[in-house]
Amino acid sequence: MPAGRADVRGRAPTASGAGTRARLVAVLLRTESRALPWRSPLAAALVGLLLAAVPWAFAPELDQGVRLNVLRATALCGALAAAFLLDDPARHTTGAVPVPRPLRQALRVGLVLPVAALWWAAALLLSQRGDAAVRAEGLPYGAVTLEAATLCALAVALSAGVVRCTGVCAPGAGVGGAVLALVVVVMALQPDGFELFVPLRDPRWEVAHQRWAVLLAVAVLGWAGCAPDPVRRLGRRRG
Amino acid sequence: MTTRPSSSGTAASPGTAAPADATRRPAAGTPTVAASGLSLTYHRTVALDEVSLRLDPGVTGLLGPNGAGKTTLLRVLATAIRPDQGTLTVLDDDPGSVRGRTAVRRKLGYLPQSPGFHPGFTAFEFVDYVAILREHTHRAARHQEVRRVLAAVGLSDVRGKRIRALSGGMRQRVALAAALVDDPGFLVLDEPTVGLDPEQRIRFRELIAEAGEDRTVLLSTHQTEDVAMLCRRVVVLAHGRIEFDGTPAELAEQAAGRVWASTAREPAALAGWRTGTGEFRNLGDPPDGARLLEPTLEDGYLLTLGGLPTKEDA
Repeated sequence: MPAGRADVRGRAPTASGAGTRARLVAVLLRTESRALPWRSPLAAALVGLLLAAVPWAFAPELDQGVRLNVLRATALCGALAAAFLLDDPARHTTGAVPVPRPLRQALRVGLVLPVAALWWAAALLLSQRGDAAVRAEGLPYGAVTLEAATLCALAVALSAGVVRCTGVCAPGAGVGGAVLALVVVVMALQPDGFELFVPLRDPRWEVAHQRWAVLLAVAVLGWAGCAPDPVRRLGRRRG
Repeated sequence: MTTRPSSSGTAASPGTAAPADATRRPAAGTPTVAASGLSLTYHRTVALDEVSLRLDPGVTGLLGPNGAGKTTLLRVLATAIRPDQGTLTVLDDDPGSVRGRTAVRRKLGYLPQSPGFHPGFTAFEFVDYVAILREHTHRAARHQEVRRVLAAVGLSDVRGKRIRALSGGMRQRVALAAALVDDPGFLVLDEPTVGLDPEQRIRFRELIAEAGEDRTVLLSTHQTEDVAMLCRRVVVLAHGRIEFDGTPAELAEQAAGRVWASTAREPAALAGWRTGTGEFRNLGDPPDGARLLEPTLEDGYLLTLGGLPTKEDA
């Protein structure tokens, strides 16, 4: 048996076993970073940054209400990017390997998180460039970040759900479209008692963001529930 | 395969790195796969209906029409999906639990129907990726194993080429190499020769035959020639049930005395088709005085299924 494998296999996670597992995770991190479909998420993220830069570049006098909505559009671009994270053309070829799928999905998300955090910080900075008087009003960064995180988590959870329930290898485009449609519908309808995208200084702001927090928890739990290997799928393959 | 290690656990030739420990072969006297009463339903469609199967070393062919449940059965045996009912043991482990499933996955190789790849990877990088997913953490040993399996499928020369630049046959061989990482005791191959030209198919057959010399290989295919050339045993699946289980010769024997030639289409035949000579080859109960023909595996297979599918079935 090649060196380095004995500890992973057939041994309880003792100190050395845990060390080998850490090494496996380190090796996997490198490999998953190469397997990640970077192009589509980066394109979506770039569009998001360009959107965030619009007030600074073209309309520095825009008030914070409009800037908030621009940031929301940027967050939506982030969610579209997140929808592609679980795309895996080799999904079926690697469908019966010992490394569990939740670990691989977690590594992918973990790899992207620091990049996403930097991207969002850049978006927040860009959105606040411009007129000093407008800037002085300030934006509730925490609340907007909560909205962005929830949208991204929702996209990942939906992608994980598609992977778990279907044979689809690349759920990104479909899930991205679904998230976009969902956001448009919720923004347009603003259903009574379930308002999410409320304007600044609206009395419903606090309650709406409590809903966002609940949604974030639901999305994370949904992802956790969908991450394990697919047990059943909705369609059937031929043969 | 030229550099595969022997089943005793020692490398067959210098420079090989396959682990080949005894745990990847079933214990003496026990089957590689023991399945009993496997059932699986997709919504209202019964994909598997009380399938019981025992697999031992050698190549077993799995034949059946589209929608027969072949891929579903293979995916169940490869632990990719779980059955609704039934018991399954693969290489002495029960994949019903997470621990058992992981143990089975360490010992089996799976080549799915239409395998997908990360197209930007080279052949070496992709097989290396699969080796990492098979828990190979030690770089030097892993690379040695990757080189071994790529050599085994004859891809050493193109290991640095991107997968998107490889032909369909070469991609299939990359997928086979990935399935061979770790010298698995049980190899599950789902229609591996689809889309290959005759030369590639012969090459692939040779690889499968070599793989089946000391391990259990389950080969799903539509090609009766593949079964005739490769398999010691053949299982015919239809509507999720096993309709035949025996040797290829026994399957062909099913059609003995039930294949005849005629100059016109025979309405009484279960199936009949015009051949290149202009004659009709008919299956079923021949009329008196009919000129009987030597049955083939395909004849036996078609008669097991009750003839050719109707246009509606097809």
